[in-house]
Amino acid sequence: MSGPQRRKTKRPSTIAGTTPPSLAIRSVKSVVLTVCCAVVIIPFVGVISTSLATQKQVTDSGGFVLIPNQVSLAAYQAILSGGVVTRALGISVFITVAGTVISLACTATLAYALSRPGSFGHKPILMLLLFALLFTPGIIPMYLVVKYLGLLNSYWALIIPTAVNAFNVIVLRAFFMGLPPQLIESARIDGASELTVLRRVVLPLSKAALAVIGLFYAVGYWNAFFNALLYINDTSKWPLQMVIQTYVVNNSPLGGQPPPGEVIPPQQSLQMAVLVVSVVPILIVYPFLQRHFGKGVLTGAVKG
Amino acid sequence: MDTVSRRTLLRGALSATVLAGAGPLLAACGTSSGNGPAESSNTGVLLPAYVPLANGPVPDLPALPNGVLAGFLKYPANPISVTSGKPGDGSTVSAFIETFSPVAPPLAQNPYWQALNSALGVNLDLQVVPGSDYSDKLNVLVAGSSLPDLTMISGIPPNLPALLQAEFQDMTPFLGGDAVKKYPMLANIPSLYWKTGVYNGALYGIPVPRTIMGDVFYYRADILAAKGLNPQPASYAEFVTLCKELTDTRKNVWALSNANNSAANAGGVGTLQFIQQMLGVGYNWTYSDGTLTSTYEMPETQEALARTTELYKAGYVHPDSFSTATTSLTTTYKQWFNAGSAIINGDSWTAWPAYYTENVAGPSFRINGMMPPDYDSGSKAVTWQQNPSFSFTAFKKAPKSRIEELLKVVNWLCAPFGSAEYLVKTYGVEGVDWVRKDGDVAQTQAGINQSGGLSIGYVGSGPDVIYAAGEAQATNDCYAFMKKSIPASVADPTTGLYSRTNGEKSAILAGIIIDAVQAIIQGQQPLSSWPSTVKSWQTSGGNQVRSEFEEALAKSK
Repeated sequence: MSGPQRRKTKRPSTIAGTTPPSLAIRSVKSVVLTVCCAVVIIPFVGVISTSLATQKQVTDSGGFVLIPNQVSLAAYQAILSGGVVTRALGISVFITVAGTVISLACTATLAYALSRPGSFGHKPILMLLLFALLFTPGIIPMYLVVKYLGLLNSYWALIIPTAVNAFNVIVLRAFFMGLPPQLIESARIDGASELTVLRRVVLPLSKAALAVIGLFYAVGYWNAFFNALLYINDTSKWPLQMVIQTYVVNNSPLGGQPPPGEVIPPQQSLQMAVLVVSVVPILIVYPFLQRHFGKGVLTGAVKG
Repeated sequence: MDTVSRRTLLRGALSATVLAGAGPLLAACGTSSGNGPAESSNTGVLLPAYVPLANGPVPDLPALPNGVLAGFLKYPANPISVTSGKPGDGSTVSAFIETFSPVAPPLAQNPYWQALNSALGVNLDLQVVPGSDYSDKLNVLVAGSSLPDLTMISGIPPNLPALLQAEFQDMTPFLGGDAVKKYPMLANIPSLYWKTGVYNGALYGIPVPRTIMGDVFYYRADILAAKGLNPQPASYAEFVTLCKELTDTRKNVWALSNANNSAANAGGVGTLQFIQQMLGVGYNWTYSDGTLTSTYEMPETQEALARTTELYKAGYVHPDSFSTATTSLTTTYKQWFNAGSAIINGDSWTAWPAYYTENVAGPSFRINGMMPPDYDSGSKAVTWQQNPSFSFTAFKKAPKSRIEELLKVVNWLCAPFGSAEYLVKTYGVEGVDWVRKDGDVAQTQAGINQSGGLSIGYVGSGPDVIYAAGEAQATNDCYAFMKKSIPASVADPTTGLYSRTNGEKSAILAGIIIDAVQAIIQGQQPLSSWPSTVKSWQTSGGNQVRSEFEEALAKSK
């Protein structure tokens, strides 16, 4: 006959040999983490809520609404009806996708060539790359180069000048140099050309690194606006970030009463609505890249 | 594809260095003060004759000779046409302008833009940039020899006289004296405004007129009336009493939106500036016996700073005023003012109608401007004048026939308020961009989207007027306030003059003052540190600015 069963309390898993944290410690950690999450999430919630708020609530709350009393889509109607924001969104997507593909292609091929010692022009090109890391051209020299290449007012002005980032090339080169040379030699023995080695051996092994570099490029293209300001005079070709800037930075007051039946949304709601529209594509894409990002972010950090 | 020739590369680089401040590279002969090309005296420049438009729109409230603007209670029901035919020749007219509005739809989706092109008889090619990026874009346009036909000159770019001389057309032969009579809308602009575009002893541009009245210290007239309070204190002591009676922290209500408007150096008025006005302090500088004294150097400014600090410590100023990001200042103060959380707020006079649009208090909402009272029996209060023109439009060097074609276009754009041309230029197409509401013009959201971002008014505008669409009371109140403010106003004696150091260092010098003022008011530094701040301002460039302005003033006499 067995004695009364002592209910087993599930203890938090711990590393062998360490003392599990007490309830008090775990409570403090929970509170701290909750506060940290709130600090991140509340502004985001506020942006969405303000974009949906009415003029009265925006004014009464001092410009930042947490929970809208009455949902109004006037701000979204205003920014999406003119076609400016949707067009700019499409331009940003195109530039980001095309730019990332071009940048990855240029960066990978250059990094691979520089990772193979003895390749033609190896040292001078590497020196040029390192020089570019240290010194950046000014606004005016860049403008003159873009102008005389005939790229003014062209979408290519937003891609070609920033297609290759020297830092990314250095990082990818280091990764390629860390790949087992035996794999590459055995491919050569089988008759593979350099391009075949790159395509069928090196790149498949470099997915994580390429995902990270690609993400860096993609975010850079998505966020870039200054090149558009300098090189694109036609505002219909401006990417989303330039359009956002005109909404968020400019605070021109509206004057006059709206026509009957029409609601002019408050300035703050317009600004927040544009911000929401700009963030949505990144939120959609990021979960698909997250697993690669987690692995690739440590590229080069741990050797051996 | 253009090829890079050494000549074009060098020319672009030279123009860029003009903007970058190496003016002597382009100097035929330079002065020892280092202002770049020798500036001829700007006195004696033949300004355009002033010929008021006959048979133009008649305002409800007449303009006055002392600078009070005309006022319109409604847009005329049947606007008259003041020009005949299309001014353009079918060519493309390019212009570089800054905007403070969101981007407009492209031409194909923009009925307002299409109507404007049709009315002008040209194809407008507008290069629009956000106001904050104006300088960067201007730099590359000059360096890349990519200037358009018309360029908005906003603020004072570095080495402006040298830039104008190198790249832009001297307009004196086209507009000086009676020559302007070929362009009646331009001749309708009073002489005062034309001085904005005078450099190097010549006229370089067409002004975008505003008014000489500076910022307004607004108060919520509806709230003061409900409380039975006198909105016009007769002294500083009465002003303090008013602030005390308006403040109720339990209800989150403070009398004043801010202690110091950081935009003060651009003409904004906060509590500190309002008290300076009570003490009779001049705007930026005071000129006497050939010597300029900065506002910062006057003992009255230190006294105003002490009083402002007391008001802040007493809790009459909104507690969040210093934690607000500089870029959001104006909007945030407006929010508090509209919500009734701050009862008194300084802002530009052009914001008057916007407060009515954004108010949430309903039909009882009313605002007005507070005149600074004499500080005490020994003081004489003043208000401050601002630069009468917002900017001016410069013409790229071109053959005479091309300049004349462009002048016809700009002349049309300068048609006065109340005309049919102005209605198309500002509001666009009836039924699409605007409709009639209660006999007045009401702009639709589509109209705001299509016209705001183009900011064509910065290319050419006639004399400004007081007008608040749908708010006749606001127009009347603003007109009445202007009639009080302008006679009591004093001008910055350096308005219209050029100082190279001021153009290069104004932001740095302003930062020295703003940082110290905010630290003193909040109690982070003692008031006794103010003289050392002024000393720092002097040695960091203030004295150089002073001597350059004094030199320019002497030449202008």
